[in-house]
Amino acid sequence: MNTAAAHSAASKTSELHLVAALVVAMAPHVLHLPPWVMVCTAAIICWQALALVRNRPPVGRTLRLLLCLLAFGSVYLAFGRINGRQAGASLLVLMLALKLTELNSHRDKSLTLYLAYFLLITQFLFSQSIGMSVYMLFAAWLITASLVDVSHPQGPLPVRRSLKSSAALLGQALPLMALLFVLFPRIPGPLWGLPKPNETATTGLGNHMSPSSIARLARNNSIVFRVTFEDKPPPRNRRYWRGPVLEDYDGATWTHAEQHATATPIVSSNTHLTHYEVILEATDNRRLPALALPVAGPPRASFTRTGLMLADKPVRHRILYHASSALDYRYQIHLNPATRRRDLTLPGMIDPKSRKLVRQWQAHGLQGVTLARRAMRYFQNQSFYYTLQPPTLSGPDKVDQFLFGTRQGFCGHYAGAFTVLMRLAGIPARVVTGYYGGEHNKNGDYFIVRNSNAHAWSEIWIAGQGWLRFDPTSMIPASRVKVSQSPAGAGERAPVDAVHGGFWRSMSLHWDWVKMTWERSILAYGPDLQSAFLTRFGLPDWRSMLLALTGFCVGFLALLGVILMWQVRPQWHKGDPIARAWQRFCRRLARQGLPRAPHEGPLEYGQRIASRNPLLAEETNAIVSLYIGLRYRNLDDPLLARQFRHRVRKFRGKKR
Amino acid sequence: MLPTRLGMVFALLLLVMLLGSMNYSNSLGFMLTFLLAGMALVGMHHTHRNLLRLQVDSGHMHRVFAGETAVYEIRISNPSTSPRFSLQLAQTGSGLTDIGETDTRSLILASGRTVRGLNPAPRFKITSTYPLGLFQAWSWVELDMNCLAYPRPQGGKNVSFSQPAIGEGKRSHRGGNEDFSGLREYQRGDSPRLVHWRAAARTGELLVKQFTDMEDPEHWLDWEQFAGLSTEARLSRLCQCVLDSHRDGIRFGLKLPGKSIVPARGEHHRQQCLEALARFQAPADAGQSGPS
Repeated sequence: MNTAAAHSAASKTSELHLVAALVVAMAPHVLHLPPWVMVCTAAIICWQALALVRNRPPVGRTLRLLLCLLAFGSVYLAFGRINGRQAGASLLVLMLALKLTELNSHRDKSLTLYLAYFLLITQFLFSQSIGMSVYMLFAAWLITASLVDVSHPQGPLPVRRSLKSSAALLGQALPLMALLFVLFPRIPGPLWGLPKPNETATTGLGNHMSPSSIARLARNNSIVFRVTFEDKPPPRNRRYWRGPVLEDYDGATWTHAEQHATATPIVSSNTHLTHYEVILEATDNRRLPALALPVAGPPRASFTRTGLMLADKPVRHRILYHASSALDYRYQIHLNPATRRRDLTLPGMIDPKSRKLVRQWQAHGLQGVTLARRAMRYFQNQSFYYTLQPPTLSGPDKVDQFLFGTRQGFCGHYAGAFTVLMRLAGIPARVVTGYYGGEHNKNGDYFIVRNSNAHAWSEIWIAGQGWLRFDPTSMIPASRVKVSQSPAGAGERAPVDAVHGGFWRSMSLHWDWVKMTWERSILAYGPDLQSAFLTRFGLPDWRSMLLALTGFCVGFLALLGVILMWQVRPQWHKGDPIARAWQRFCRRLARQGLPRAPHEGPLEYGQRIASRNPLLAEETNAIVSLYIGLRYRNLDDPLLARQFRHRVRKFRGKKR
Repeated sequence: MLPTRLGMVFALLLLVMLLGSMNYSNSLGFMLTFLLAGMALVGMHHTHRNLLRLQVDSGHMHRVFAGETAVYEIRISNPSTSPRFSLQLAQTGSGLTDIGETDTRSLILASGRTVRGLNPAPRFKITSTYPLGLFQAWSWVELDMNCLAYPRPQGGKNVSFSQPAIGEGKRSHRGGNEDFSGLREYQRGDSPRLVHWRAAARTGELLVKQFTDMEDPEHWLDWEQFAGLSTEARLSRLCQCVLDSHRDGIRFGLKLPGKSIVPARGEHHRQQCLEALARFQAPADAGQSGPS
């Protein structure tokens, strides 16, 4: 092709800049995309860069088409699809690399850069961290610089110039971005189906509790949610975050049954409420953690019979919500017979020793709350140990084995055993799972609740008092806790901050605060937060938002227009002093009716003046010859320059 | 200010990005989309600024022969301290230029075939899509400027002069040694044949031989020589004669109805004669004197 020969060194430079910008934009995909995609991409880019440097002709049309088909085919074979997050991003990266072999025209280059912008947005599907955003801004800066360079087809701009222009464009776009971000009316997504996240399923509390499930969570330090209290935070021993309530027991596993949820919470009015804000990470289920017993939640939230708060759809991305809870509550003073039956059911005649124990207590005249307290003390007085690696329980009478045999376990074992004891005593009881405590971050005054804070406790129903919380795990004294790291339940009572002191911990808490602010104010900014935020400024609906948005944008652009106009104000005088003096001389003559024609050189002009007005000839000739000397013969003589300026200053041109 | 076709593609891209961000409720996706939208709007202003306050003047009048493309010199001055990039005259399709701070550049506007005489410049457009290529700004300019078209040269190779000058001139031109009157300084346009090369070798200065008798025999190119032709044909033949005579270094004069140029020699003279031909206005009766 002839274009290959026509590829000048100039366009080569700008193409290499483009390739560099693209590489920067692609680089973070190394973290998420399969290695073969990145290796192929790197190979194509290196090949193309070499071809550019060595002035080899670009790849032919047929070969390019073949490679495109190959890329499509491989992506389809690898992922079984060509859309979706990973497959789509892989395809985009490969196609962009191939597009580099076809940078013949201004149009090709521009389109490639547009796709590079699109590549940036695909990164955000994988990570929305602060670091990634800063990196993406950097990449956008380079891509824009390359776009500026491409819009100057007669040769590459100096790199500094294109980078400066790019920085100016993006910098001036930042206020518009902020306006659009805050005011552009958001609608609740998704617009079409979201692919199931294909990473490991998010961990969290499940719908059932077998002895191992909580132990697994206890070793998982990832964050579940962060909480900010509006007033004074409740003390640690009252921070029970309610999760699934497990009512069905088959002798080994406690199970939570999906329940019908209503829009009204089970407790509607209370004297004292605690208000707080939660930033919940994606969980892929509908449960919204709430303190103690939720009384009010976010819009569209609903509540189950057991006091669980649910979102209207699974939480697939980080959300922010406000809720209110009652810490001191009475609920379900009257238990309906079906629930009562359910919360008393045990699978057959198991655990004979436990039955005997309960009968002993009853023989002492204990019942209701006093019997429950006696059971709690039992865990304290007998040599029960808290451990995350308890011996496995086998056989049918698991509670007997635990209470009279191993006596080692964690919250799941204690809550389960306690609930069984209560049911044996004829008290309706159930296991509640959730989270307990949470780490306080002084920066920003909020609490971090992690998977390792997962916990299980019991609720028993007492006539006239409703459901009461009992946490048997909390009865184990710290001396009998056999774990080093901060586990759920008993271990929680040791202040975590004291255990892991030091600089790094405080740094990581600072950093967590920055991340939390980022997540609260930016990542969680969706339809709900937007309407809550903007209602405060008197913009309750999308019409008023759009109106305000338009107003602010037009105002900003008008201001920018004025500034840009001012930037290009005539400033001939900013040139060098000699040019300035010459301009002055010409202006003076122009006022005499002898303007210099635009195409007239100084010599021609001088001759014309001399012939038109011989009286001026001498002075004019002197000035002109000085000017020509200074300007065209490069006589860089300060003395001559001063003389020239002096003569121009003296020149009046009034001799007629 | 209108978006370019690439600008439309960019808008489509932004729309896709917006829909994607909505679907995934991706805050940073929104941010990037809005950043790029803001950048496009800001870029529109920058494109406008790229043309703002430019001063456009006419440059030298270009001279061509009739039938050639009209050429105009456009001088664009940037009075500000912000350099301007990639300015283009819309009609020509090429000629992108940058103008540095407080600088002036000339661009050539080419447009249409000329006819003899003055060809006024058309209205033209200065455009720019810099810095992003998403929007095009333009400014219509109408300048009072002309391209002068000489008659199209036409006719035989031999110069024919009107009587009585021809014979005498031819004879004495070649062998007029005795009529040699002296040397004068070389001027642009003098024929190399008249240069006194020996003197030049000696003194290092170019001197031209002058012949006294050549001053007097008047070689006239005369309108009446080509009687019977149409006005344009006559002018074309005269034009050819002027060019040939100049090439041969002959001293000649030009006679047109209502105007005559005394015999002389040199570039300036040639231009004067051609300009007279170009600007010639046929008298009402002289125009169609012959069959055409």
